[in-house]
Amino acid sequence: MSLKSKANWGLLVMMLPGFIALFVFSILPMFGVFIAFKNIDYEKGIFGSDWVGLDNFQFFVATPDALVITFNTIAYNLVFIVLGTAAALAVALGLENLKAKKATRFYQAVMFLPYFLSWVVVSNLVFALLSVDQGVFNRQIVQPLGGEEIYWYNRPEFWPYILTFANLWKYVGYTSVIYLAAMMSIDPGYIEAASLEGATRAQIVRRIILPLISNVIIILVLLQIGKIFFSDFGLFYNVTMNMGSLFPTTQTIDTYVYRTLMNMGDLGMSSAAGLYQSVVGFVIVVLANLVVKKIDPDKSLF
Amino acid sequence: MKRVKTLLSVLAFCLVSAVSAVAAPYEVVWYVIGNGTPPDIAAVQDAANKYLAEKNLDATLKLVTFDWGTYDGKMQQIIASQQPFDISFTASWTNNFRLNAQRGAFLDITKLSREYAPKTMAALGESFVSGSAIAGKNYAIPANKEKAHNWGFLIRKDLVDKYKLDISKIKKFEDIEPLLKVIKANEPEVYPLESVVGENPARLLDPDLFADDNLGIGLLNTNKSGKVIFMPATAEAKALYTTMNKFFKAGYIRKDAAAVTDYNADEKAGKVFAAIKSLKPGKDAEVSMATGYPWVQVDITPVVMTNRETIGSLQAISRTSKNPQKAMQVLELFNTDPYFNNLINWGIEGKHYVKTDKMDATGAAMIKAGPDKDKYNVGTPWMFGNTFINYLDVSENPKKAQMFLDYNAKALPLKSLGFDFDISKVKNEVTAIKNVWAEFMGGLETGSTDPATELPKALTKFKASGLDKVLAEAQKQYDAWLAANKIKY
Amino acid sequence: MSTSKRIDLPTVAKHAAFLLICFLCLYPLALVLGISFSDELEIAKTGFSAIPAKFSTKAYEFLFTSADTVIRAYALTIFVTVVGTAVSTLIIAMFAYPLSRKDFRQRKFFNGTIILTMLFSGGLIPWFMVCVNVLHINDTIFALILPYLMSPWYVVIMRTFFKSSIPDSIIESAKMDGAGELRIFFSIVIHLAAPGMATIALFTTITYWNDYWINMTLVNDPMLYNLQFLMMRVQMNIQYLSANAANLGAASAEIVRNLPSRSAQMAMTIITIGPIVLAYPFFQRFFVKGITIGSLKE
Repeated sequence: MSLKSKANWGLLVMMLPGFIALFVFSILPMFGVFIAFKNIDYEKGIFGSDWVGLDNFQFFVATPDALVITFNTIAYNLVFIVLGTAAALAVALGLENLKAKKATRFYQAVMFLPYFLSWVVVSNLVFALLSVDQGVFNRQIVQPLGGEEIYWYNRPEFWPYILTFANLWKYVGYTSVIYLAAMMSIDPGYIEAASLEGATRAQIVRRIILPLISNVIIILVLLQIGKIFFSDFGLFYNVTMNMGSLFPTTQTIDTYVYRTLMNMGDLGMSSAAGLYQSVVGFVIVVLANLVVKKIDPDKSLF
Repeated sequence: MKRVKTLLSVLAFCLVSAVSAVAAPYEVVWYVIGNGTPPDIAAVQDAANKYLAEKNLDATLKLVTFDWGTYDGKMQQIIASQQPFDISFTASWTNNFRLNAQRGAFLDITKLSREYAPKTMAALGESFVSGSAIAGKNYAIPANKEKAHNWGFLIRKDLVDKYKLDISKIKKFEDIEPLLKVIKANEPEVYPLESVVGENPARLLDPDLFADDNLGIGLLNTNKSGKVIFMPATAEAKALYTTMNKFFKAGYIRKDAAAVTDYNADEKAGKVFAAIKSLKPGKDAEVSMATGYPWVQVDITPVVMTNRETIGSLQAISRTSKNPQKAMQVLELFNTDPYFNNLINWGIEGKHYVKTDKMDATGAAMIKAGPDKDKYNVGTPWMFGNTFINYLDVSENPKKAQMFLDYNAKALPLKSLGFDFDISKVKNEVTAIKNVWAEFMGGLETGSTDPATELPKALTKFKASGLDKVLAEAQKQYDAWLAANKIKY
Repeated sequence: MSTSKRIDLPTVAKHAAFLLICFLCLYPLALVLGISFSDELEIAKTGFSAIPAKFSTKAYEFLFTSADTVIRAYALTIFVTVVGTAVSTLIIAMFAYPLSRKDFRQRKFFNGTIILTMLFSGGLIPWFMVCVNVLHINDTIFALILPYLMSPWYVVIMRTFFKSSIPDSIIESAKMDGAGELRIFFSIVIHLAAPGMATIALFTTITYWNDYWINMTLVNDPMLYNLQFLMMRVQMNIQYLSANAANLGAASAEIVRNLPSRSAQMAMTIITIGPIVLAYPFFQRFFVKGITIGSLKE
């Protein structure tokens, strides 16, 4: 008993610096949640401003597009989670047992590169490819073939694919690093033993590698589910060039909030937006976590 | 023991700060927009402080410049977290003047300004000052510069000469068509008409908009009637969108117009023949120098003085200022004293600028860049106080001041000058309308979508977003304001 | 002969697939490089291309007008990144490790705290008030380092790595030998979780390197501008000015015209990603197959 509590003290001391940082920069500012329920008036000060109940939240449902916007946000996130996870796992598995070490290192490093390009730069690149007048696609492929130019920026039906591709392109290299690191932590003895017993690669992947890194996969997916009501602003705003004609398939909660609250500087409404997104994400994560806990308590998030 | 020590040191600290507060002059903190902090800011501030001491103002100046792109965000943070400062630059387009005034971030200076800055207020003129008021109270001092605007064409002169085109007959937008046709036929690399998001001929509608540009609610451009309109729903707008779409289909406008915001690259590359611009005297010469191509200007809309000008560039005093009088006195000196004003605008003579032999119309020497020009080059005279006491660059017209005065005199002050639409009661509808605006108006204004099909769709959606409620609210507020100010149509 | 071919085929296909992906990742970068060395006017005239139609170094000259500023920003960014990454990785690991231990009693409480801070935030203004009014770190070098020390996201990932790579038995036996928690952590845990630590270190390196947000919110002093912000402000200014041209009226036109836009943006990208690309190979060294735990178990 005494040994156990002593051990805990050692662990608590280790956690101290992290907890201080967390407390100061994340927990302390949380008092700001109340701003979402206030109508800010500087004459009265932030704390003295009037309470307005849920008034600041109403603008979400004020638009006739509320459903489309919510659907887009969730649908894109689901697609990104499923395809992103699958692609990153495939890449990591592919790299895991490549024999040519130099080539492996080269592939890894190169696939990581897109992560460094900001969405603003990516949007310029996409425009360089798809612009009607100056784009590589229309100028160097369609025109020489005598085809008709495609007005990419007026065709909402293409953009779910373009945006999904852009998202995968940018993040797969990044995410695969985590999976690769997880695979590297597997005791090589297991895999050696399996191959000695004549297991095929597919069997090794299915029976040994995936189960052993399943906790990493589950955690990453759960983390992404927590952000399901948030969207990657740069992807949906910059890469689409803020084109109105693409809204039906590209408008998400974050772009809506940005477009409508920009220059309104309404502190209450912007706080309300963030809080709403967080609460929905929180509820979904708690539910998803319950499911995971039922199946295997060891792999749950909390 | 330790506690006593801490207590003592706290006491000592209080004492020292109290003493220094009495002895030192008050530091006026002033936030402005620009290209970021200039390297020589300290030298200019020292010179300014020396001058303030000479004038016995018992104040020092701390000028903080934020970047163009970050100013708005930084000011929102500073104001929201109620940090102390004295003066900030504000306008309808950044550090939102109306909202900050309505929410009490700026001090009501109606009295203070008359008391401590009488010369500044006199120079601005009563109609302009009251035009910048919010609900009858002054919250900021406007800059003294051109007080009106109008829109018209800038046309490439070399191409006009080359094809012997007649620009004297252009009186309205449609008159440009025959010229565009010639250019389209003969100059395949040139876009006959510039039309990109933000810079397009829809500007010619020139409505007198309330609150937000992307809300479209206001009055028609000369205020002939007091009926509040929604711009895209008017016959004028429909006619213009239809013409624009005709031009688009005829190939006078670049095909991806609605996706482009950067007009500058095309103009500099010589790819634009005609463009709609905000005009002022000598605009064509200015743009010619900047782009390297010769331009001529053709006025289209009448010269009007609107809320766009009265709240286009102002200095406000913060509610968190500890000494608003001192701040106001500094502003008064700044707006009326040529030495002090030019010091902040151009830097130190002989270092950042040098005087030339050439004189402007008022008898002041015109200036050119000095050896250390790059170390202090704010280049924002339109923000800083008073254009009429600024030195002119040698490249400028020596009669600039007079030209501005003439232009201001020509301007028709609109009846709505000084009206302010408070959107707080309809803010949910406003956010929804702004979103529909973003969806449809880029295409319509640049001419890239067909108003025959898109406009009805847009209008239905605007209505579904609560347009009628916002219009009714705006009309109610405007009528009440007219009655209160005894203005009649 | 035939058997070796059968083994090779999937490998060849795999290499082909990776080469294709690499092309998809490299081509845009080539485009960035090409445009950064292109003449602005040529782009407007002939469109975009990875091979400059007319070679120009103007964009770089524009960015390097004040070379000392760029060099100082480089030095600052490297310093902040190195110090920040070292401290942050350690703090995160020390926080995450206890959470991976089943015998840690306060596990539930801290796990809950982590999840809560990950999903909820008080927003910018309260955070700003804490930094300025409570900590007074604005306009100091601490502002660039402290706010990013802890990341709940990385704590959760790190915790998962610890869970899967540290067998309980090792901890038990170390304890039997009388080792304290700190000693166990520094002499055993860190080494066993090297790939995980390297992953988190790589990510924090990039967080620090790519950050311009702190400069935008907490820093006014040009001496403390980091590289990303130095580049970002040029970009934001261009965007802001061209979007607000009509409001600024005559004034903006002249300002905008003096800024190169597209090629400068691409040149900025090249300058800012230059040294950081080297970070990946550095951390790559730690992505080696795990140590056979069996040997340690005894």
